[in-house]
Amino acid sequence: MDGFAGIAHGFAVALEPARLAYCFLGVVVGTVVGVLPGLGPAATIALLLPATYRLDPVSAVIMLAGIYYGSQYGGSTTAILVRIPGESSSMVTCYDGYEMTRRGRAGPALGMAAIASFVAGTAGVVGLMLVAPGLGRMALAFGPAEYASLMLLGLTLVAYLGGDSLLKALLMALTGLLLATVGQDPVAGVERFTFGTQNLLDGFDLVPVFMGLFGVAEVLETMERPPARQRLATPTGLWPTRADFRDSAGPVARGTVLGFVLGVLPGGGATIASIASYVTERRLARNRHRMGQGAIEGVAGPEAANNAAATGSFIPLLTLGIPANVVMAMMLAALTIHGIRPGPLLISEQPDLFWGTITSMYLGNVMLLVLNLPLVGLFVQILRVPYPILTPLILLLCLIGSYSVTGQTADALTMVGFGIAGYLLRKLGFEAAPLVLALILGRPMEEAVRQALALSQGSFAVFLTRPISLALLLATAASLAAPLLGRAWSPSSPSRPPPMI
Amino acid sequence: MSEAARPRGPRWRRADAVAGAAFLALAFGAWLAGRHLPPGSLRQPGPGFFPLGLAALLAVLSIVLLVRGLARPGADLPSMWQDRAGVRRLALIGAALVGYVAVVEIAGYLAASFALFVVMIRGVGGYGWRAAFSAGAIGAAGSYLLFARALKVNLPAGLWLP
Repeated sequence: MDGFAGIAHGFAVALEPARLAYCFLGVVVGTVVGVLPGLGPAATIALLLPATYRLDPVSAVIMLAGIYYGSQYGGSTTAILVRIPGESSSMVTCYDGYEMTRRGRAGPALGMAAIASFVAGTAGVVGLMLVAPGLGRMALAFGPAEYASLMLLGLTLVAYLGGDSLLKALLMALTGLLLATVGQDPVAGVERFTFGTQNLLDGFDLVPVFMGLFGVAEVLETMERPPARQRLATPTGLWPTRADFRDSAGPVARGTVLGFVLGVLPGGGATIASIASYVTERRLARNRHRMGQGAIEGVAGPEAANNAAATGSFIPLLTLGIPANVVMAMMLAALTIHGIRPGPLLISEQPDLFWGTITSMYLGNVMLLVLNLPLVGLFVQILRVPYPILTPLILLLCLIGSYSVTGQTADALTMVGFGIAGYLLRKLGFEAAPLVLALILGRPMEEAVRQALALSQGSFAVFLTRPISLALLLATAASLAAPLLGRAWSPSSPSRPPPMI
Repeated sequence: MSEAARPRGPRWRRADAVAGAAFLALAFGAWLAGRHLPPGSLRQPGPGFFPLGLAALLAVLSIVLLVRGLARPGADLPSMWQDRAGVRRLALIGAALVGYVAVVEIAGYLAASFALFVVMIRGVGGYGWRAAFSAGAIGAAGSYLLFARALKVNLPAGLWLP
């Protein structure tokens, strides 16, 4: 079944009332899950997996998919309102998003986040439809060497996220990588830095680290000021202005492309995509000198990227049966439970599933836009609550979020520790993002490098002789050289990133 | 972040120097805790390769920062820490957080959360007792309903609840 016939068939499948209902349920749950820090789409899907036993496979996948891309919409809400990313892919949205809130522009920020997400999600679905089979084959060529090179590319982006001190960004990144080694060695299983406790066996969980470094540290920094200076600016206007739309067009377009491509690559995912978009906009956006101080490009680009990536990450799963990230692995489990083994023949053997899922994703994006835009007004009202009363709520959210990961107070304690450390580091001029990014990428990268070397019997040439790996390494080199070239090209263009708070 | 550039106080108070020393201590600690791990070789990295290598790199860069902090005039340790009220607020928040984690499994979610609200709103925010108590009750109960009932999150029940 080819493109257009497939789409027509897909709509017939997805527009059945029951299927629409499951799609709606999925996107609503996804939005809530995305807004709430501490509960992520992967965990939610895992929790709901048993509930889908009784559904037919198409409905199950439609609902679970809705949870995933829905969560990308919701994750930006807390990032913008209180500087706590609901998902790791909303981390960079915190920068300009929260700055916009502090300047009374939370409404436009939330609105643009929803619109950018919608455009990217829809474009991603179109991309899925057109490109799926071909691009999917590339995922087959991904071995440990490609993985390692991709992680390295991701890590070099760290250099741009550290405010105006490269040295401090590197220090944070190295610390993040070091923290990533805590736990069991990914290849040999040897315990590292566990000090004999069970708690650290799996390493540091991301949620307490996030909550601490972003949520608690932000609260501490704000509360340090005298009460008069704790207030956020009164919100003015709920809708993005015409200038906002004009400024955001480029970032959304670039973010969509970046996100889609990175989402397809195994291990890429929404987080790297959003960071790559932010870094790109730092260079290319119309208001790049204002990035970090409330430029709407800092919200539009990354939000487009993470939604496009979420959509793109379905490709390896639906065309080859390879999960591109943890959420896709959950989807694979869901499909397997229903007796379906995704692979190259899925499109022909299960046209209902393939085309039905794709069209439901389009419908889901429409639902999410309709859902989210009115909520902007509601969320902005929350900001009217005086900060000292909002604070215990935020802290409570962080505490619950951390505690709920394993039910151990150790995780909550970790969060408090990172919160205090994060605050101190901020006062000393360090940014949290490089540490968190390195923490996320550290373990997969080490595993990939060691596996690649094991397979090549210790030869480093493998990273250069395999074409995809080589391409990624060249991209890494280019991104490192770019600031130098930029300076040579035009002395007036900002080659140093603006200082970030 | 960009505080006054004029250095004040003894050299060791420079912000960068303190930061550099802290990271150096972290690197040293990592080496201490991980030096028993087999490093393997460059061609066949073992469990200790990355941790020890990273600790070494961290040490080098932190020394750079330390030296830079001592040598050049730069930002002094943030002057905020001379504002008593601000320090008191932060200390109270920090203590409240640690206290919360310490007692939540003994006193239960509701009691601990209520206490957190009261401490924050009365102690840190400076509002009256009535505001603190009512906000605490609403906040603790409301969040309990949302998380424990609607979302089925496992919240600690405390030792004295069934």
